[in-house]
Amino acid sequence: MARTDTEIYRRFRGRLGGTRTSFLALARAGIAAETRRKLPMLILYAPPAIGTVIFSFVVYARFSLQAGVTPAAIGPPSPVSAIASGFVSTLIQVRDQIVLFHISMSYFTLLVIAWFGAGAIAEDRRSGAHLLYFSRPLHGSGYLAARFLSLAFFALIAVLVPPLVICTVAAFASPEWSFLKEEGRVIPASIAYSLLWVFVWSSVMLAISSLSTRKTLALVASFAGFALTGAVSVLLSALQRDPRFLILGVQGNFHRIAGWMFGMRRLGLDWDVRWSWIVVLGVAALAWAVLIARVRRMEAAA
Amino acid sequence: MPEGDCLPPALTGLEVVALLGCLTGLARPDALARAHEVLDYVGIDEARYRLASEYSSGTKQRLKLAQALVHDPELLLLDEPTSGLDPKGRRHMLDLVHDLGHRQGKSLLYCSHLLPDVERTCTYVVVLSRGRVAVEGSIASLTHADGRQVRVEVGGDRAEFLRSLRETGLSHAEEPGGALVVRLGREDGDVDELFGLAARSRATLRTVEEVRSSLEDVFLAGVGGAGG
Repeated sequence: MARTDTEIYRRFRGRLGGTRTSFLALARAGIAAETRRKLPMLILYAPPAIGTVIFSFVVYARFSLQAGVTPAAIGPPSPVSAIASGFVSTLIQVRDQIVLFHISMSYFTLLVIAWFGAGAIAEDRRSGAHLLYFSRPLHGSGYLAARFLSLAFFALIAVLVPPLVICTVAAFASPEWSFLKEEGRVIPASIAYSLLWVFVWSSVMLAISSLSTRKTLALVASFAGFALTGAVSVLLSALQRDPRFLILGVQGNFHRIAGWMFGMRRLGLDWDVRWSWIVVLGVAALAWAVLIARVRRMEAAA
Repeated sequence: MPEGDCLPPALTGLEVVALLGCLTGLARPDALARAHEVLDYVGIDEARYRLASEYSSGTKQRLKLAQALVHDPELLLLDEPTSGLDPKGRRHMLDLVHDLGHRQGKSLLYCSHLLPDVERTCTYVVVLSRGRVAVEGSIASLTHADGRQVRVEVGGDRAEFLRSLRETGLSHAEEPGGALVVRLGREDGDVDELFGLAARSRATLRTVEEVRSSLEDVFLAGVGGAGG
């Protein structure tokens, strides 16, 4: 008679449900797995958090001064109040401060996307985990959706939460809700720009990850690609003294789209925004074509 | 249950099984409860809260079996489940597989090149060679497929008994210890015939035991020798 060391086998008495939303379980597991590593989380999210606190303070200070409160009222002399006073003295509009903070912080979030995205598919390929996933009623589309949602979750925390927090502070600090009344469109523009940024860069990062079998290789490839396209466009732009050469880099096109979305002309990019949309969405389409092809291969192998 | 490494590296054993339960259609609470049950069954205790990547080979194999059982399927596909296991782990795995197949009513498709494992756990075998079915049948019938053979130790007039065997057309072979292996010619061949021959030739049969082909013999015959 067969004997097991522990318990008897118990039959499952429940009922199997549908599997249309089962990819959410995979997305949730992906998030749980990444949040287990505390140090990278701390390193990657500390700068946006610090930046958010400082800029929130700057915005609060500006509205306070506008309402007649003196710098002394902000608090005792400290490095933070000194930075805040410096920013306030530039008299940049609050909206511009938020937008510039948003754009500069979104570049920082590339680190977040690269870190969490590089291993998303590469690690599954290396460990062979896709063999288990695709032995279940999970299709390639569900797998892709799960991996994309996991990555987008981490990216959105870094790219969307800071401007929303600052906008919230601005809304409450502004007299008579003037921020919401006069510059309220910054909020939907921030959301739209964040979603576009996350969609495009997450797609690119997942595509790179799907082409690699190691997280490290995917990280190196993503930084090399980003630096190369950025360097070429900036170099050509500088040599030709024509900012329109920035259209060759995805980053320059994002700058142009940001200027268009936030209604800012001071970014200095004046080519037709449609070209930027074509470049940015073209890159995303290419990334998805790679992703779909690679995931189909994984599915077939399983 | 795949043969090679396939466990997500950043999840605990419990999370792996629960996740795959969810992917199969179990609600999250059901998947979690069911994961505990099957992990109990395969003998993964506190280790279920450790990362699966830190498991030993034996525990990884048992975790793979657990994830295959989480939704209680009727059919299990097991690819080399004892691969890379030490003797104790192999024995435990074979016990589990045997239990599933013989007591829990599961149908198992067990792929292995370890024929003693197959012989111990399976009832029906298909030998594939170069993508084609070389041998197929129940293990009981396959190990008798080349005719029934018996090993006998002969006393008395041994020479006369051998002559009688030759006259009746029963082929035989002598083993180093002096015992004879007699091929009875057909699967239902009767050993009474041998006793009759022994009586007529004034010989006695001290022992009579059945000789079965091992599955390895069947395999080698099916694929055309050791080189097949």
